[in-house]
Amino acid sequence: MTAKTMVVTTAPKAAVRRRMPLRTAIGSGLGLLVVLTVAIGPWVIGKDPYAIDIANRFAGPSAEHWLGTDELGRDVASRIASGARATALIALGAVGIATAVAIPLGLLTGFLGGWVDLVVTRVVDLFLAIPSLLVAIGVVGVFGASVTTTVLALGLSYWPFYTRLIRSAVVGIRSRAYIDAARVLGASRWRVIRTEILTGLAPLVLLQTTVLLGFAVLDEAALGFLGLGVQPPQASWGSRLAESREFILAQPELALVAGVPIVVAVFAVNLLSDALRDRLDARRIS
Amino acid sequence: MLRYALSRVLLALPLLFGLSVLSFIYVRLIPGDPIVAMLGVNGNPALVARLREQFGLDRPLLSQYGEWITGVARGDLGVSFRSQMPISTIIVDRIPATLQLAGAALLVSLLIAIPAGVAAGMRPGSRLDSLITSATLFGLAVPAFFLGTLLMLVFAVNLRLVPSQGYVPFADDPMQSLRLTLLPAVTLGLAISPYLARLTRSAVVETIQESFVPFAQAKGLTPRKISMGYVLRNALPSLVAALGVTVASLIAGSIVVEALFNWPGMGRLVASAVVERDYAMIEALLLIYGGLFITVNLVCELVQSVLDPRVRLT
Repeated sequence: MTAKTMVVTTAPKAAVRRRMPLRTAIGSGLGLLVVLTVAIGPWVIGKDPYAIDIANRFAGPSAEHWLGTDELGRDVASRIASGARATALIALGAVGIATAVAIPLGLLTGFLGGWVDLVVTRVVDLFLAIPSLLVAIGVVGVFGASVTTTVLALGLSYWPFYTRLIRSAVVGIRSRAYIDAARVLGASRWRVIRTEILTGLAPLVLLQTTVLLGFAVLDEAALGFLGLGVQPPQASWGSRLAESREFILAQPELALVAGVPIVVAVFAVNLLSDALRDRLDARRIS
Repeated sequence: MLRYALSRVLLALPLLFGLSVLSFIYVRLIPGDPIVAMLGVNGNPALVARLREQFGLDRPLLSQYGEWITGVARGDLGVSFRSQMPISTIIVDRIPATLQLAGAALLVSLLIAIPAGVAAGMRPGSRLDSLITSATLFGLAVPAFFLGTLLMLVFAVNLRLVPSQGYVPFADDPMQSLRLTLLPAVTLGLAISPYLARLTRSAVVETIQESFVPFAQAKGLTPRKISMGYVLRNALPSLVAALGVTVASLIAGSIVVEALFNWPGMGRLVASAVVERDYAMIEALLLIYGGLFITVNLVCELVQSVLDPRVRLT
């Protein structure tokens, strides 16, 4: 009896924390919806997103077309579902590029210091002085708008901020006692980077990739909206916006329908990354 | 103070120089030739050669940069590849519209984000805090064009309270100008509010951990007095810095919002310059937006150092 009471009185807080917070639950639910849309959405809807049917343009929702048809009579639901694939790939690619640039550069500058650090940090500061959407637009200006360019443009607009983040994390980890211990034990620089610093960075990288995925979906859409992203008729969430923009006053519901999946996806990412951040912060304190 | 200000300015100068080099090199990085890129591969070779000469693209890079940058220093940003008009004239024409929209949006955002951020930050972990935090997470997920379309649909198309699109200079018809500003400004203001609210919240959360807060509570001051008089005043320097950072989202947001509402500001130039491959214009816009961002942040740092002299020591 006493032992049982002890358990109950010492661990109520931990027990409360174990329960999944509401926003994590909502975030996971919405996230699952997005993942399902990407994975099996086009198959469930089973319509060709490129099939034009001018006679049926601007049709409202029906059993045949769940979300109605667009300005060319194409099925909106299947355009959104296949666009989800393109957008997801673009976001993953862009975040991949940013991570692939930021980790080596952040390690190089944060761990080695010296003139490399000075030069790279200056370049990073310079890029940070230009709002990231402008950097992305600048890249589109060089290569012309396309799927590949969108991936590259977003990736290149995220690396400066990400590099700075990694660098400061590396500087923080470098000064920890266990790094000194590893060095004293005779570990080489490369080994310290590989086994101590990279593992220390893992939570931050996980969090940051999640956060950036949300930004990438938003920026893909913004570029698409400006006509600088994926070009119609190719389906993506951004190009869907570009298409609906021409009819924004006559058929505003098309633009709204095109925007909803973006809101859902990014909200899911934001909720999950925020929950992740709380988790990691709590661990750092303990 | 003067020494601090001077050192900050000296730090900003190499950044501005680097920015000018970057925008300059940017145009020259374009694969092939910017003139060919603009006219297309089938452009008349004689015309290409003539334009290359006219824009000085056939001369050594260093001399091109020298001429460009001395022009910039005099306020001459070169000539638009596309319209052949001086870029400075085009941009100066658009500044009033952009400032009007950005200023109004910033006002909207301050009115929403600062109270929300303070309310959330004063009691971290409370129900109000998690409500506001969730609202900012949702707000961050709503793209400006989506929000703008929604507002346009409700307030302009259905309720007919305000015009949906367009711009009238304030001097021509102040009332109409303000009515037209309302929707884009609320859109842009709401779009940047989540960022500002989150930055405000974290500044306030940091401030309430300082020891003067329990001291003020022990003196028996009301929570209202503590939040308005003590916490807000001490969080103010961080808020000013946050405002500087928010300018980046304000710029990015204005590009999209101006496109949505047919607002004839500088943001519209960005997208059209890229579509039209007007590289001289892109070069100028990169320089101006980057310079603006650097300058605003410099000013914010200086204001911060006036509000909190301690930052001068670090």
